Amino acid sequence: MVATSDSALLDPSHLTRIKDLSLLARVVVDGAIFGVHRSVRQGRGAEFFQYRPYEAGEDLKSIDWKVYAKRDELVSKTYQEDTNFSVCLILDGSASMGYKGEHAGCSKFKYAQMLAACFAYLAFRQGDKVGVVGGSEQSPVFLPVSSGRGHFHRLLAAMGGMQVGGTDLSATAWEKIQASIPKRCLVVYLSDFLENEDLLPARLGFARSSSYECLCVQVLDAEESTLPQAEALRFVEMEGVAEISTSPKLISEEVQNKVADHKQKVSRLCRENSVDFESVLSTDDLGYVLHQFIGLRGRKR
Amino acid sequence: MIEFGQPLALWTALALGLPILAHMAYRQITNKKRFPTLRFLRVSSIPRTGRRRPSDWVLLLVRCALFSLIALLLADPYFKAASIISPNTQKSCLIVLDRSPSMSGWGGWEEAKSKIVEELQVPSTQFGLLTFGSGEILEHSMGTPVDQLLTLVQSLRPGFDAGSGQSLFGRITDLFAARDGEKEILLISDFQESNWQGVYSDLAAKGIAVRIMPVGHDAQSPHSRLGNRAVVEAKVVPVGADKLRIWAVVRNWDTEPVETQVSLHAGAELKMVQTVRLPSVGTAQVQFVMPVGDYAQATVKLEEEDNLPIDNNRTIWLTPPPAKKFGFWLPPDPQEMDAQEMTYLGTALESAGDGGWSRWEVDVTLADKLRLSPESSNLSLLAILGCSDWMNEGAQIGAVQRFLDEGGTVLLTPGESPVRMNQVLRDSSLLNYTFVRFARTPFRMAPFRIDTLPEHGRLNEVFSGDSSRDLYLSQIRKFFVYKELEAGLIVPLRDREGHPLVLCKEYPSGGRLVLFSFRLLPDWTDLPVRNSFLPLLVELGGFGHSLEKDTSRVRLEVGEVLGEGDDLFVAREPGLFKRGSNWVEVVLPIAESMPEVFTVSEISEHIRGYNQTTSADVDKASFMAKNRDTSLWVWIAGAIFLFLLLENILAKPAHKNSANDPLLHA
Repeated sequence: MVATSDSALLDPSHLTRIKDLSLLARVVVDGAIFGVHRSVRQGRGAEFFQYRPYEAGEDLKSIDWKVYAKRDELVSKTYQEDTNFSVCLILDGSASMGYKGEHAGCSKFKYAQMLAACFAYLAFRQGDKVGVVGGSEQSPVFLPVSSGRGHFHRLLAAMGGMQVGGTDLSATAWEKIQASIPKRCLVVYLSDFLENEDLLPARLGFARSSSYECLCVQVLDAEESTLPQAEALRFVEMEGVAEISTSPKLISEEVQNKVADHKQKVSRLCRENSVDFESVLSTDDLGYVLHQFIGLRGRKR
Repeated sequence: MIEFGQPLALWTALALGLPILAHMAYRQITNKKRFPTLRFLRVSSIPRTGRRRPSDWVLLLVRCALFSLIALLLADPYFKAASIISPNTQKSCLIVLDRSPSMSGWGGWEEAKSKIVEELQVPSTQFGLLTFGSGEILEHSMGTPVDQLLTLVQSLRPGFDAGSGQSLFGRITDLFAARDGEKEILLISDFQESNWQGVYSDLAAKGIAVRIMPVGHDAQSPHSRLGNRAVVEAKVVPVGADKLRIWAVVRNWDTEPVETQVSLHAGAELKMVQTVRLPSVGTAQVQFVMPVGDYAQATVKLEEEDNLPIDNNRTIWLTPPPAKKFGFWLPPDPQEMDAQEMTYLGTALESAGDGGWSRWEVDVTLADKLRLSPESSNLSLLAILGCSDWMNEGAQIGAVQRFLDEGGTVLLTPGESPVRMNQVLRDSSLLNYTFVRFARTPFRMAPFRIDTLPEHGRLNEVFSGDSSRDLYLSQIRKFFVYKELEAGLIVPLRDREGHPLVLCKEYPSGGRLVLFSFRLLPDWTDLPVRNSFLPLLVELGGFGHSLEKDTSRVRLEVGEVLGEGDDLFVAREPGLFKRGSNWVEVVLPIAESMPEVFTVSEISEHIRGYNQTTSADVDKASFMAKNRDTSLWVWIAGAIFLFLLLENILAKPAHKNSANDPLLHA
């Protein structure tokens, strides 16, 4: 398990004891990445942000001539840009997300739920609008993006009330999701991406537009590639009725390769659609994962 | 000390390998595991982990113990008494001698005796004797002194019984002691009876050897009765008023036609002789005519001796059987129609006979005596014609009632006034019914017909086919309509509109009261002139039942019995015997004249049985069976049950929540 250097309390197995998603999100975000995250954009705006050395080619309007007069060097004056950014969380609640391996502290869905809460808290803290959609085809949840403390708590309550079960969202549901995503929105899609990966280009095609940023977070359980430790097992599909009796020991290596190939395939599809992709295990430290995502966003800028 | 009844069954203990193999070769049965997706999985072989290690030693031990106990159970263990009795090494031979009638033919009896005498000289052998075919099985146990047996054999004679071979085998086993060593039966017979054809025994399975010794007929001419002729049937019938015809059937078993003399003996004198030519393996008839009344019995004889003399004569009874008596009661001043009815009914009854012998005889005296005297009457049937209120005179009603209570049959025909007859019968409680009207059909109009007989009635059994057709064609022109019949009253005949034509009341004594609703006269009905009338009268009067039990002339085979208690008659030998007022003819069993189907060697196989267990094995089994004290079967069966229960408990799949240990035993 990957852990942050400063605290082991962000281990999912410990965090699952916190029932209040709001508190959980504060613990994770404040405890792990406070001061690291910069969501504000530098650019044109009313509020001064900082000075920085002028670089050739920049607009001459950004040069602070008073500083030049006093210090005889060209510095550019930057302002905090009014971002007006939204965060849309898509949380997969299909039956396969309910899997919890022997060594995992929580199910994949619980992990994704906690991660989504952290994203929501980050957005709420910096005044961004946030919304959540997801669940399964049988019990979909749809809460449009909005801001405010009240909305934040409603969002957490909606996420907390989601139950795993059933199948993946249908094409109709996805059309509704696509229609509800506002401009200038960060879409975070949390799923195990085990089925229907070929539909990703159609579902996330909007991310090719510069108005959107999209991040796919694949949440897997370690046992999905290593397989449970047993001489033989009768595997029953969680989203169906199919069964396979097999010896995990005999096929474990083969399965690991197939899962890795699958990850690569999903990653490639995401890249082709300008979507960031990250795969995490349900045993990974949440703080570390958040660091990764924020670093990813920082690198993109 | 524990021993086994079936020690070879211990080999089944090899089955112990089965649970061990099962443990070593079992496959794991997997637990169900819900998994997000199966797309990366594939079916693989399930490793036989049992080959590496038996997974459950306790269960393995229980299963091994279970198989051991089953093997033990099959081996039939028992505690044997400590004392051991050594079996007798002396040979035991039971001589089984056929004394059936046919043994007297073809020199079979003398031959059998000489062979027995010869057999009894064999040293180191104890003998027993069993005979059959003379009415009873004669037994002399194993170890009877040879001198005693020799004397006995010389005094024996063939009997007349059919001699069923099958009846022997129940006794043979008991005559041998359990300790007897080599056991053997020596069966001496001519094997000509059909009774041998159906025998079966399993003597070989009981360790008893069978030695067949055919004598007489079978030794000389198997499957035939060469040189034998017999009187196979004889009957006597009246010819006119004063003569009798004696009719006999003679059979020849030779393959060549022969001429022989058949004689008739009566009163210890030779009366007539006839020469008859008998075809090869066929029969011929002989007839003698002699006056009635000279002799009570006669014997038909074959004059020439042959190989089996006992079937060469037949004694027959010459006097007729006693006839049943019947009588009439008529009105005090009989009309012409009464006399006509009496004549007609009397003629009809007297014509009923058996082989020419008259079965019914009118006796006016007995009928009148019944009117006047309260004593029992020998009458069987009383016909009261033209019944009316004249029946109230004197003690006639009481006499009728008494006659019925004694089992007699009373037949009533209506008189001039059906109303008065109805009143008389109702007042006297003889019959309770109501007269309704007089029905008649005009001349040239369709007559009344008899309706279909009740399906389950006695008459329906008697009248079928042409006889029923004849009955249904009967015409009835006039009859009285009755109704409101008392309970228990039988209506054997009805017209097609359901009106009773005959009423019948049965009494516990067997007596019957039969009332016709019409007179038995030609202008009333044509029923009396029909063939079906006499059988109808016999059935209505209940005589049909008694005919079957008629003991006036009885023919029995030797060995059969008649009657019971003090009246018991046992047919011991052929001939004619007096029994009370009747005669009983006893003839040789039919079996003595039947052809054989199986050969002696086949009969021998049937007697030995098909189980060829060796004598030594059977001796040992029998010896052990006699000496065993306590069978352990029940105890071991109980232990098996307990172990089976334990095995079921141990082998029951455990409910495990953890996926770490999904293994269950097969």
